[in-house]
Amino acid sequence: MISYYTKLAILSLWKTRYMSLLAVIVIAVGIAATMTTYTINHMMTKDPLPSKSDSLFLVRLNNWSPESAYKNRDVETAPVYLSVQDAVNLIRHDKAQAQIPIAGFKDMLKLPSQDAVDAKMTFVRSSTRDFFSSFEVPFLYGSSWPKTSDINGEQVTVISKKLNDKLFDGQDSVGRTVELGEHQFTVVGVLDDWFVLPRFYGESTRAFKAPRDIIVPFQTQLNLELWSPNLQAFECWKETEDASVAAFWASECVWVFFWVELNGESEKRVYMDFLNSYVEQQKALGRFQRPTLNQLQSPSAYLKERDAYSSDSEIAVWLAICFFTLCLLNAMSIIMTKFQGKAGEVALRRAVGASSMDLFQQYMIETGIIGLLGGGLGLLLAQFCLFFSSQLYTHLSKNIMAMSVELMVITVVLSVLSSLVFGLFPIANAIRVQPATQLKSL
Amino acid sequence: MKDFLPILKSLKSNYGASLLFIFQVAITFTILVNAIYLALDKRESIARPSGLDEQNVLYIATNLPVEEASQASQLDQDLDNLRALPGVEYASVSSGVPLSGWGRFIEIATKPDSKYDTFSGYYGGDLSLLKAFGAELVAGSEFSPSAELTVRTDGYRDAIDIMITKSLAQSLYSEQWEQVVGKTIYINNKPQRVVGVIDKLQAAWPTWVVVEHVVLAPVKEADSMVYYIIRTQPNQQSAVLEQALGYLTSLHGRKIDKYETFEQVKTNAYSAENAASNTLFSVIGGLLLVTALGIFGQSRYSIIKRTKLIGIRRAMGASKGQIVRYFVLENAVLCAIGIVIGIIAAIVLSNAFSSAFELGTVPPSYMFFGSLCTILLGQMAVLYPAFKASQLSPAIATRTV
Repeated sequence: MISYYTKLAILSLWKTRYMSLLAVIVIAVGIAATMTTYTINHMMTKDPLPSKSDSLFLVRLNNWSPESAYKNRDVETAPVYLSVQDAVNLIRHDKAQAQIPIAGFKDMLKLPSQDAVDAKMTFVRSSTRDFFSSFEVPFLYGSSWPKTSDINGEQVTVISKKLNDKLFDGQDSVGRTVELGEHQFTVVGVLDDWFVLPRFYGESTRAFKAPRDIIVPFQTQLNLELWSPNLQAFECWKETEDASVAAFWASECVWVFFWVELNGESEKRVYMDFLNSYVEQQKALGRFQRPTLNQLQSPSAYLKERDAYSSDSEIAVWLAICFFTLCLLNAMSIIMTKFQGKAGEVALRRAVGASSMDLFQQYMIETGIIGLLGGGLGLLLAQFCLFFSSQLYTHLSKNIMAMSVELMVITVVLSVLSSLVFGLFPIANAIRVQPATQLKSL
Repeated sequence: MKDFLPILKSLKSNYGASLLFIFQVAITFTILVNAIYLALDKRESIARPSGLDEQNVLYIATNLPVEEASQASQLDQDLDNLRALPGVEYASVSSGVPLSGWGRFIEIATKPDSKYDTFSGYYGGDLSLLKAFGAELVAGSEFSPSAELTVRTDGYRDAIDIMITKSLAQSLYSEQWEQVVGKTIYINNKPQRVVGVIDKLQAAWPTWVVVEHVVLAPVKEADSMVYYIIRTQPNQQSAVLEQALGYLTSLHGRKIDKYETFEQVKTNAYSAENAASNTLFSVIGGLLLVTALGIFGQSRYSIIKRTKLIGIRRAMGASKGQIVRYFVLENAVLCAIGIVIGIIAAIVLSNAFSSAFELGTVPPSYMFFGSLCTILLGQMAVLYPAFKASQLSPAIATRTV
């Protein structure tokens, strides 16, 4: 029966092909708008590292001037970053599963064989080897640097696949050398494609940009005194001893994001106790003169506090959903017009014995096919819209504009379901025909 | 107007389709008004004047590759050489670039040792920085040459004389803003004397609430990284940029960190707003198209359904014009009902948006123009089906009755 109805439905669709096509297009446009905005919003607000969202925490210590609260806020909060000395101390105490300072600088990058004019200003991330394990960073060649590199500040580096393609034509470059400013770094690892969205671990204003292409040990940055005052945001409540980088390292200026990995409540409690005792001990040395506000903050709470999520994308989703409803209402009126011409056919079929249930099934199949076609076309349109958006939204990373398979399936299912629901009324309208009156007019 | 009653009566007998139509109009109106408001809101923030001579300003961020002691003299030498380039009107050094997203903000107070009154952006440079930006004074005077200082970092701590923007002056002294000239205000608790008021200048962050608050000080910062601001004669930008880079890179150890024209800076600064408003405009376009198609389909439907009735009316002596008028009027009535519902929905939605997303509410004028647009759209979409209906032959009434 189903196959017979399907055949009838296809015949009927063909007979009213312009109306059907119009309905398909209208549904497709609505679906495309909704799924495009939803995809962008979903990618922007999703959990960046689902497996680690309960175990990664940003360490915040209230290191600020005794005279006024940080940012003079009414409710006092601790700065989001630490001073160099606290970051170094916390790494040295080694009390967490993983300790990940997030710092950086920029410098001219080139191969030793290249000329100075070919050097490119490059943003460099500095961290510890825990960065790779805790953030689940995939490696293409080599591996992260050994622990000794973190301790001694060796000149080693891990580079991204993109940079490896550019500098070394995608070959296994482990053991090769790159030059950052006046310093040479040995490549120990090359990353595979890696993207974390939103990029929660650094400045929230860059949460939707690609990760940096070159990563070196934090201690190396400190040892070599590599510092770019116009890259890394920093805040000072006390003047530094002098203008040198060494004085800046030793100062109370805060700028290093510090993440720790802690598994479970008990580890978190133990680490919190450690932080409290650390701050008490520093207080005895004359530092941390403000109330203790030690905090372990989850990635999502941090991003929320820093307003990393733009409300624009959410508004767009709501507008798109309204728009989709409108498209469905339109499709409904088109289907209604379509079925209006069928009054005679309905009457005839009813008169020769088809129950209204049979007709209902047949027309449901017909609207279902319209929904399916609309969903398919909508999916294509959505891909086009996403491509277009990736050209338009230059401030966002291109990876945001990608649809997962789940979303694609959801798109088509949503299209079929909604067209079935919105087809109910026209169908009910169509099969309510009185056979006798219609047959007279045939 | 005598069609009015029959229209209302026919609505009752055909309420399903009419309701659908009203619903469509209401939703279109709701989205239309809110989307236009959001899109224009974005456009407005992009269109705010930056205070700069936008077409002719460029910046180059670079280092001073000499020993610490001679960095100040290297800075002066660079500036002299840049000024000597053909096509350069003014060249200056600045601690930051407006709208570039990177800069310094300071706390402003009118009394010593009090909590801040407001925040402001800060630029420090040489005496010609105001001219190099292309900004204008509206009160007070320029800096006296003796006020110029050179420091290594954090020039706002050492400044003696400053200029502030009119917007900042107004936030401190409201209507009496001109009196700020000659007064002392406190920047991060350090007293500084206001000598001039700048008409307009924007701070480094386009989305900042107080983006129009700027303090300008004649304090050069000869740090590891400096921003050279160059204002060129019209249409000389690319030539000047090439020569300036050529000169700068001739010194051994020079790193060019970044260079951009101010128009590029502004494009980057507002790329999010730009993209959002473009998206909204395409939504509006799609919306109008889909609604027009929908109204078209609806009208066709109601006409097919009433073919015989139209025939009867024609046979009874109604003119073609009367038939057209009937459908046009019916469309207007339905649209009007839809708009009334739409206005209520739009207010609700706009309030929901404004409380959820910290936006302003849609002003009444948008409702008015939105209604006008919707009615026009409806009328345009119904014209063709109504015309087709009027072409029906009266003879149709005599068939199949």
